[in-house]
Amino acid sequence: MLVSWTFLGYVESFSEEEVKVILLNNFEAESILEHFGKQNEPSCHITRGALAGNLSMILGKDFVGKEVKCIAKGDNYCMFILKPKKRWLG
Amino acid sequence: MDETPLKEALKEALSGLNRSSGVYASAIVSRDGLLIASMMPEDVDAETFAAMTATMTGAAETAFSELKKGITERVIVEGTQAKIITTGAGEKALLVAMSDSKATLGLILLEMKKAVEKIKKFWVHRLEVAFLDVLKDKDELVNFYKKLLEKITAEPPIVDKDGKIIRFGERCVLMSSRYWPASLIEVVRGLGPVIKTFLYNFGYRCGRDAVKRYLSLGIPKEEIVNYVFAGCWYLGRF
Repeated sequence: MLVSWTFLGYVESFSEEEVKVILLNNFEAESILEHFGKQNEPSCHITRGALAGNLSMILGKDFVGKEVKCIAKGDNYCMFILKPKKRWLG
Repeated sequence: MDETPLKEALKEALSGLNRSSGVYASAIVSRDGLLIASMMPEDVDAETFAAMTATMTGAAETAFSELKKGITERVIVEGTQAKIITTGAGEKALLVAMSDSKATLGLILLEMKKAVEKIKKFWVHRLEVAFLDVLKDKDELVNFYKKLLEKITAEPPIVDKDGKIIRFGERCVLMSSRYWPASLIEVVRGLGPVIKTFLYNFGYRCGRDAVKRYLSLGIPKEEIVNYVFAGCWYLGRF
């Protein structure tokens, strides 16, 4: 039987210019929630860095990650938007 | 609970179908009968509907295959009170619609075709297929991840004769996934706003090196996303 929490994460949308990733379980957010309580802003910096590192290596160009929804902030999932470095800067 | 954007978008495609064609129940179902998204009246059990329609479609596909008459494009079942129509929505999913028996079939098929185009765009890229790969029950999902991880951690044993943990030829330390992000934050707290950059760069390096390792093991680029999610499962607690 399908239960939605078995989703761990998936690529919400993908293009060479922007990738959105959703994680429904994120150990970083859970650890922060448990030890520091609810946060005022997205707080999974290691995860957004790791996803940017994953993607940069897969696609061969430097990607930068932002977290726009965060379990540690009280959202139901963490959402990351990753873009090539020059797009954030430009 | 809020739906994820993906589920919202899939439901929106189904709502569009229901609004414009006289369909009163529709669903996106994996080919092995698991419900992905549905827009159903309350008196229809969506999961049973999903399983039954996938079985029905599977039977029709087997019949066509046995008869060597090409592939099944759609299955239409007409009853005294309702019609049920299933059609493929990409390699791994079906779109299923149920309407009143008097509804116009041509219009339903046209609107289903439009809905399929909307649905397919969510997994046209191999990376996006990944989300369907994890759309399985928990045991199946965990086995799927374990098999992936076995491919990259096939180096037995984890502990050498001196009791040291060795992975990928390197001496490793054991940390609790429950504590380590918080511990790391605690250690660098004094850095002020720079902490975000520090943690980000730390993650970036881990993420980049993980992919480097997968590539060095011969894993194709388009499959790496599955390993990334398998790694998340491995680090996580459920």
